[in-house]
Amino acid sequence: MWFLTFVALAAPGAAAAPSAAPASPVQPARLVIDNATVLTISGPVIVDGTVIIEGGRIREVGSGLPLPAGFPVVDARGGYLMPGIIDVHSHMGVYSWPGGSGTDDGNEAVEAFTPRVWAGDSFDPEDPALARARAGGVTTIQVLPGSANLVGGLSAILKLRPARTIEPMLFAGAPRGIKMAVGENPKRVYRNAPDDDQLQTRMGLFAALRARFQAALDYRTARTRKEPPARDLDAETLLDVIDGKIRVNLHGYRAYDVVGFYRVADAFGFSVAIFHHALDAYKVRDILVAHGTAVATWPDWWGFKLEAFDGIPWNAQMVHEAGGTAILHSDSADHVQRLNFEAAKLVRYGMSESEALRTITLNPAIGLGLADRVGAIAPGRDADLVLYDRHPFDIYTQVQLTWIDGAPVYDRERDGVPDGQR
Amino acid sequence: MTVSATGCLMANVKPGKYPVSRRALLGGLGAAMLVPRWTAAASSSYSLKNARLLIGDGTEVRGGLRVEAGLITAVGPEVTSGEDLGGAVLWPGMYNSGCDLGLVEVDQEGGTRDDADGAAVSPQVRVVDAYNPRSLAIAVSRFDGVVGALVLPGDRLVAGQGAWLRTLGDTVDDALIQAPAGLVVRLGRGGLSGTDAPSSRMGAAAKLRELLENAEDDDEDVGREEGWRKKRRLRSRDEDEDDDEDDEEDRDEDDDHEDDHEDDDEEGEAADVGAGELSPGDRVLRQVRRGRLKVLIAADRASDLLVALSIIDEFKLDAMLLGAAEGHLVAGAIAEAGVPVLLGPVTTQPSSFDTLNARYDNAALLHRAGVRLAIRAPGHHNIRNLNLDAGLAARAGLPPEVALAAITGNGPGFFGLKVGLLRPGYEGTCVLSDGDPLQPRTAHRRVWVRGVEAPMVSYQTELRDRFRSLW
Repeated sequence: MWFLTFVALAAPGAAAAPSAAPASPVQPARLVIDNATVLTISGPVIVDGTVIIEGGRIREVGSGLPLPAGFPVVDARGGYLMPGIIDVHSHMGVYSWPGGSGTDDGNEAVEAFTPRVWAGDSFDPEDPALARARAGGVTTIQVLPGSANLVGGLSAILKLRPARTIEPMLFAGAPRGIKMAVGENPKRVYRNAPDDDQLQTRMGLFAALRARFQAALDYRTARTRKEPPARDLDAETLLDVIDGKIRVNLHGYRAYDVVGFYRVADAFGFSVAIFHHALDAYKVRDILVAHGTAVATWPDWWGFKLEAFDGIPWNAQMVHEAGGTAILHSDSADHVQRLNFEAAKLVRYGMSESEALRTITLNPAIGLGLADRVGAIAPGRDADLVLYDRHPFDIYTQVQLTWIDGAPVYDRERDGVPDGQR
Repeated sequence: MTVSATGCLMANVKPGKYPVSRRALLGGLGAAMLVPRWTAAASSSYSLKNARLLIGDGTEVRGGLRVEAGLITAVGPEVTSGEDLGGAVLWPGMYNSGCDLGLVEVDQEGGTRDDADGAAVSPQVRVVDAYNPRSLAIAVSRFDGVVGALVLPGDRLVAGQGAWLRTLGDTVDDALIQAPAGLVVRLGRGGLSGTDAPSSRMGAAAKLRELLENAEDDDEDVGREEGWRKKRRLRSRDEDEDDDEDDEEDRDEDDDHEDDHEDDDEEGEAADVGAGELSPGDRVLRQVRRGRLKVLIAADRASDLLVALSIIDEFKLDAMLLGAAEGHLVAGAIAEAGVPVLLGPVTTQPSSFDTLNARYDNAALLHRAGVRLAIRAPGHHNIRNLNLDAGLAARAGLPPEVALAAITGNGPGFFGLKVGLLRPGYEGTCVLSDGDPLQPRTAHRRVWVRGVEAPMVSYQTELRDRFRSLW
């Protein structure tokens, strides 16, 4: 059995002494990971590769690099090193385990527009699912509000550093994101809402969206008057969307739902960064590509509602072939733990292995506007990495170590397997 | 494709690219998919050679497979004729030991759901009466290697009777392997829904005990099989003429004779014993009480599993456990009781109060304790991931050959069925794959069900082909 050895532990504190305590967050680390098969994602695979990490970032990647003096070295012989997995669609922390009314904090379903709320305000950093995701090689997540509302609120983009509060987990410098939703969910939630809040049909949803964005523009005009209206945080958030300062994450399934949303977005001059779920994406992949929208989907979920009935496992590959950015997301505190196997399934349906690996690393980074920071093993990128003992698509592979900014946030030897963790 | 006799059925089918409306797709595709009607067993023969045969019992041999009249007649090196598979993997295909395939078309459309009847106690309910053999999820599952499923009714204390079905067949009769295949009973929170449901665990256990107590035979009949048989014979002579309910039971009996490979006589007798003043539900419970109908008790929390074991012991039930997310906590007790477990999903998380101790190595720990188990993937649309679930169990320490057996022959074997193994006398059902069936990258290339090669066509392949080039 393959296992990891630490050698030359020269720098104190860098590569965590065995301890039950989680690694301290934000340790800009110096580290060398040596002898791994490096799946760089942005470049060719490097056999017997070396990755040199300094200040929490990747300094050098290559084969046969001279090892810098005084750096701790992880001998990863036989292992596969990959960029940490990125999940653009998570509800961890806002539907904390164990589930119940007491932890149901994902949908502020009091009205269909709540751009004022931030998922981070619901986030429970002690959700036990987070530790399991780290043990599954996940390093960055976007925590989203749910999809009850047409505009559900702002997302929290986090690095999965173990922490007691959300603040040390925030991905510094990440662009803001907002959740919007179309289709059956808002229809269902607001079908029987009282009077003014009631929404019943898709045409009603889109009319409501247009009215809100128009109201935001009217508010901007009104604010220039001598007696301006009181500040309206909903309107100001929507103005930031119109101004392109916030990336739009659109929940939807049907081709005609995303095309309908484009009618609104095009009219108000903003774009959609990621179309989430997107089971029909293959039907309008050319339109999605023309709009520069990335597609975040599952490999094979389908059928749970009528708008999800046309999902096919070739969706991601067809989007990719059309020149689009195909992302696998989890939307699940269960699947997030093994997005590598979810990606492996795409190979069964015709995607190349290298492209399938991109769907959980570089492509989600592109979707979040973070491609210069994470998602690839290249100089200058954050040292967010995962080390497997076998190829990440092999069902028997086990994560040995997960690093964020060069600090180990999961270490199989130190932390054990997450089974039995609560 | 140059397969013998039946295999050529689908060779010329080109899935349509025609731009039909979705309504037409939903309504018409079932028919458009051209599932070959399973005709006479006599024409269902094929021979394959030069394969890596994963038998399903943990062994592997090189050679071929011969199927005649729907049944396997030879396996291994002695089969040297037939189509050359070039060393590809041939295995029994997946048998899902507990799901609701064919009972639900679209989860959130109530009008398409038949997975649970209204009453909390519905022993007379039979899934074969609701099963839709044209559900689009069936071909989708078969495309990825699911060849059989134990279809079970949903969340009720006494949910009704399940059935083993093949994933190929135009009618329930074509698809049926065994019915009834056990009465489903649910403990834990799963058993607290439906009309007149108890509202607590103690209420559920009390109600279940009460039902079983009341299903006990009259004093004079307890343990007197001969007396009952005599009584039955006398009664059945009378009832041939007048009792509607007996017609229903006769159907049961026919099903058993036709499709149950073992204990035909036993089950057949069981089906109409004790008719008369008893309701259909009462009679089902009486069969359970006599150990003639298996009872599948669903429970996840360790304490619920122990309640299940005590009830099984108390009433001497022929039982299996279903779910068992926290089974590893009581593995010794389950092993001691000798009760098989239809385990899963193996990906159950510590995400609810019923499963706080869920672990990926649950299957491995149960196996190590000596528990016989099959792995199941509940649900309907995505039961094709059963092999990945088994792979995850293997990854967490279940021996890989046991993991494979747990999704092939084990489950049907618990019901005495001759399916799920590549052995002479078993149904001629198998799947051709390009690698280890437990690996997520492995694609499944061809599927045969009881001698008939199934089309590699589904609602999903039709959508793929329809939008392959944009129009």
